[in-house]
Amino acid sequence: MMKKIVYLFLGLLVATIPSQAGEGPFALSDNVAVAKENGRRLAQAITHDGFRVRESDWVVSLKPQEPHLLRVTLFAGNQYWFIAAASPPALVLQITLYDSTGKPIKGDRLKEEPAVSGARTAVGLTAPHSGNYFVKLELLKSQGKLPAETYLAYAYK
Amino acid sequence: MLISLRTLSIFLFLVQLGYAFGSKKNSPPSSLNTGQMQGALYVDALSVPSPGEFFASINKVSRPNWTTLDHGGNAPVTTNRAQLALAIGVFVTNGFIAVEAQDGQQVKNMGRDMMALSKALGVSQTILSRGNNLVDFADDDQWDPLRNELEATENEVKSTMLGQQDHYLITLISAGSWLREIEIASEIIVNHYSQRGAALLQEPALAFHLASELESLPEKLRTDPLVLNVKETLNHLATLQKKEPYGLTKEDLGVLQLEIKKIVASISASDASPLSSKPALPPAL
Repeated sequence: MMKKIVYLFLGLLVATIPSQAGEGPFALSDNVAVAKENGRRLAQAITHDGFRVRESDWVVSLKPQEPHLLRVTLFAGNQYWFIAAASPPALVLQITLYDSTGKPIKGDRLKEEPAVSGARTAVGLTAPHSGNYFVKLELLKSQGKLPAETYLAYAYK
Repeated sequence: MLISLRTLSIFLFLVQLGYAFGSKKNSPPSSLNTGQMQGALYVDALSVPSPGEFFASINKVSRPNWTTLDHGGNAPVTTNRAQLALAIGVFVTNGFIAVEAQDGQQVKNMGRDMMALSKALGVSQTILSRGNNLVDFADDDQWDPLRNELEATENEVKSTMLGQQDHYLITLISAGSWLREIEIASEIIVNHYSQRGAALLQEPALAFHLASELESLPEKLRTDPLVLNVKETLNHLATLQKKEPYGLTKEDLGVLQLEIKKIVASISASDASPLSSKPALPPAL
């Protein structure tokens, strides 16, 4: 009986280890392409509303629970959308915006997001003043511990 | 048997559930501390705004007549690589000014000048098709695609520089572009002064950052008189803006505009021009 319990326990443990399947078959460049494609599809939903998506973007390998903090320069009165997308094994991405003093900003969220594999998110704000802002990009949930290629860009109007 | 299989399964299920819906996702974000803010990444592609963003913001406060503003002169004839990189930045911004003015011919002139500057830096081959796109969009009055193409052209020049081990020139492009943006924005705001307008220009962190990046250039570039002047001007700009957090006064802005105009003229001057040999030292305000 004890042996059975040990096997069952081991079996359950194996079952609870997140799948790495999404990481195997993709080369790095494929994952970057998937992340960019996911991001651009999300950006398209925003450009319909008169926003211009910047040609410049940033792709980073993001590990779960290891956020990246980026400095950006915004202008008073402009509306912005920050768009992030990641390839599998990413499941849940989060963007948090902070003002120049490091205080979090409650941004807008997109109501509808196109269905894609991987993860994507977008946060919007109207800059109350010109200056330095911070963007925290975080992979909250993933199917594995390996990093996910993550695309970040922004749109303005 | 102390623990039944059922109890064990429920326990493991609850552990997994707790892991999946951990408190981190739902808890409100806390403020950043000084160390986190100081350690924040600076990525040229996203941390430096595009001229289009700045001009969009200005258009909301003041309705400038872009056609009457100075669209810039011809590309400098020089072998100074630092000056060539600074000039590319200036000409990218000139392109955005021409787009705001909806002046197709000026966009084409600027595109031609950018190709000449890029050729002098050895990066023209990769962006030749961009130059053709600029001409096509300008001919068809497609202003939004033109903005994208201008930014894409600048990105391509920068990424080619990365590939050619010329990454230090990237900061010079950004510095040249930012100075030209501030020059034109100051001119607009001085002509129709409002504190709200002046507050739009309040980006001391960017100016400080660009100045500090110039500090880390290889010695030959770092000690170039033009680069020293650019650094000095950026530091001066940032110091003034830091001093007046709600926006510079009309007088200060006017003096600043003249100072930056001089340095932009030095960047755009050809080797034989007297402007290129005279350092544009910032006047005291």
